[in-house]
Amino acid sequence: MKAQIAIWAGKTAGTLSKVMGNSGSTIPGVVARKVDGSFLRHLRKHTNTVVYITGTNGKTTTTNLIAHLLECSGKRIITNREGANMVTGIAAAMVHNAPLLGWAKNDVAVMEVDEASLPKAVSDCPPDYLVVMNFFRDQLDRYGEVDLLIEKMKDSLKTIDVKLILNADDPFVHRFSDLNKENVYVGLASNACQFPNYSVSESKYCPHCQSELTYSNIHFAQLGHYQCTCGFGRPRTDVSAEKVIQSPNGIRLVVDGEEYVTPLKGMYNAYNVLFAISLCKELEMTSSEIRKCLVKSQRADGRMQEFMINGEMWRLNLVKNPAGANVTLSEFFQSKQKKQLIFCLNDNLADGEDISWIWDIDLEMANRLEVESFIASGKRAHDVALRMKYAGIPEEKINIIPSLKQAVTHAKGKNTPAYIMATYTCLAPLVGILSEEQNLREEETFGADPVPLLSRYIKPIWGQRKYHLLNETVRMAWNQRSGRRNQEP
Amino acid sequence: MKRCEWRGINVRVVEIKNPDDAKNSGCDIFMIGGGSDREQAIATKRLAPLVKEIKAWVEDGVSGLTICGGYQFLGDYYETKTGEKLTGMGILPFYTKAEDSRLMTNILVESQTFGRIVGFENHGGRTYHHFPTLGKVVNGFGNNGESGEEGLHYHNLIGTYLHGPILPKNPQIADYLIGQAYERKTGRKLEPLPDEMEKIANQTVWERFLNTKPTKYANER
Repeated sequence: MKAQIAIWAGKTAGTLSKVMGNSGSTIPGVVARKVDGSFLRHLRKHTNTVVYITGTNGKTTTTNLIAHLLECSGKRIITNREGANMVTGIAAAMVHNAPLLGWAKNDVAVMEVDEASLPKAVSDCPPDYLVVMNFFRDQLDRYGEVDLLIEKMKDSLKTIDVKLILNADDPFVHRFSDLNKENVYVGLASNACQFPNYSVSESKYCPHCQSELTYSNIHFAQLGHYQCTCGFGRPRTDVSAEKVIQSPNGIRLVVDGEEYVTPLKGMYNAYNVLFAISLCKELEMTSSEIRKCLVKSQRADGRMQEFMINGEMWRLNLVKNPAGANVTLSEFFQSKQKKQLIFCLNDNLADGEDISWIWDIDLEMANRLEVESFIASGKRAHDVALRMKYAGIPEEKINIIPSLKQAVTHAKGKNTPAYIMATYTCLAPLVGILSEEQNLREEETFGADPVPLLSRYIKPIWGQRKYHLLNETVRMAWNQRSGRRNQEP
Repeated sequence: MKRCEWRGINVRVVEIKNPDDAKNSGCDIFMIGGGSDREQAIATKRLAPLVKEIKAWVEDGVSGLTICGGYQFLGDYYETKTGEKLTGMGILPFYTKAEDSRLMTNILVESQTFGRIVGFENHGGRTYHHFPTLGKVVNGFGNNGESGEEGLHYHNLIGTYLHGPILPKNPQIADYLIGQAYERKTGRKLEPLPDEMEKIANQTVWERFLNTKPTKYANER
């Protein structure tokens, strides 16, 4: 009964918050947990298999991929697709998933879990599978230190029965091996792919004897084929990608002799896809099912998202830490075409208040002729600009424009595509701004049909149940539209 | 390094992985960073044979910058939350004691020598000493959250919790370290740089965080 009240309270809070114009995706979860402190235990009761995905980079993409693959194979799933990955986010997904009365029965729960929230999530709802992707220096201000974090995560798993899907290439992740659970090691074969080189900022020391690790092959950051004199080294893989090939339409992987194609772009997605394949195989999906469904996978917002603006293909990618930013930059510079680089940095709690990590990004590699202009944006635009200056980028090429909207407008004025890296809280506003710019273009091209235009204005109003505004909006939309048409020569 | 490069001063950076690297370096400026407790203990053990050398550098007026863990381990010991005393390098007589809450915030410091200093602090340890400091904390916590002072400034050695990072937004400190070393080596004074971007960045942070309230974060979750 308590749980039912929690669901109702959560649903009501969610609707109220939407009416108030908030997008807060975790509010239903916050409320539900206020009513029922161990709300998450119901997830365990009403789901056959619970999967958690954790680690620093790639959680959201991997979670979405796994959810998509399982759904595509006909499984009933529950997932926190929006990347709301704290305990409240999981609770919110549960509220959202529940019907008005009782619970929906699901085959699999696919939940992205923030590293620091894992112990709490595990104690309320122990998972059957845990995917541990990687550990990079990330938002240390929230988490304390990586060492401490890993130990706390491991402690929480000691007493439960769980199968671990571990990244064989990450010495930090390998530390989960001494929990003596059933492990599936996943990794990239040596020379499976060519990640461009950049300086490494992670510590590459053996967790047992503290000597420096030697690498026969480095993929990126501390990920690769490592070995220590004390015997600690990369474990033998159970699932291995022998080859990763990049094409303009996505990436192709050869995993244990079988080929998979995905529209996800960017070398860094190799790990995400590989983890998704491994997990789905554990859940008894066949290779051909996975192959068939993988082709139809879509990326999440702001993950190498493309926008057609002024006839140029702009790109937007989320960055949270040096390792991710470095991979993003090397993806950006795969093409040698002339471009602009925009770096949007906020320092809200979700971004990390401590922005010192930007000094560990290899921005030096962005100092090239093909980048004609740099824009530093966001609340910490001045810090970004300084970082660029100390990367050797000529000051006259650096523009400081804190407002995201103005930064985009400025970049639009040039005839080159903008490649944008943005921290978490810059992402949603940017997706909004860029989508609008893109739609603007579409309307100009396909202007004859008023329906898509009107629906753009009406839809958010339906959502907010403010019908009385409808007439007003139609009028505004119409005026705006005729206004624009009049301006055309 | 960039600021030396811009002035045409050649710099060589030597990463110290074992004591011999340091002994042969003949350094003009030294820098010790921080790490996790585990990494810090390893580093301190490895640096032990160098303590005499570093002490001599400090007394000779070699420029030194030590941050967070590097700063804490200049002292005699670091007492962990469990009461365990980790031995420091003992370069200067002072100590640090860890507490549960983490001091984690944007910090503003008013310094007689360096003017307005801005940065980010993130430390569980509270440091207590009687040496001159970098300056008074205007907002944030500083050495121990009580004394209202931040950092340590002894001869040309600076210890600080500002890892945010300290030098780019406070070029006056970077130039102090470089300037002392340059003068010591060549007898000449350092030419100033325009630093417009640096000054605006410093001012922006100062104005933004002047009236915010810093909160302590619980270490355990």
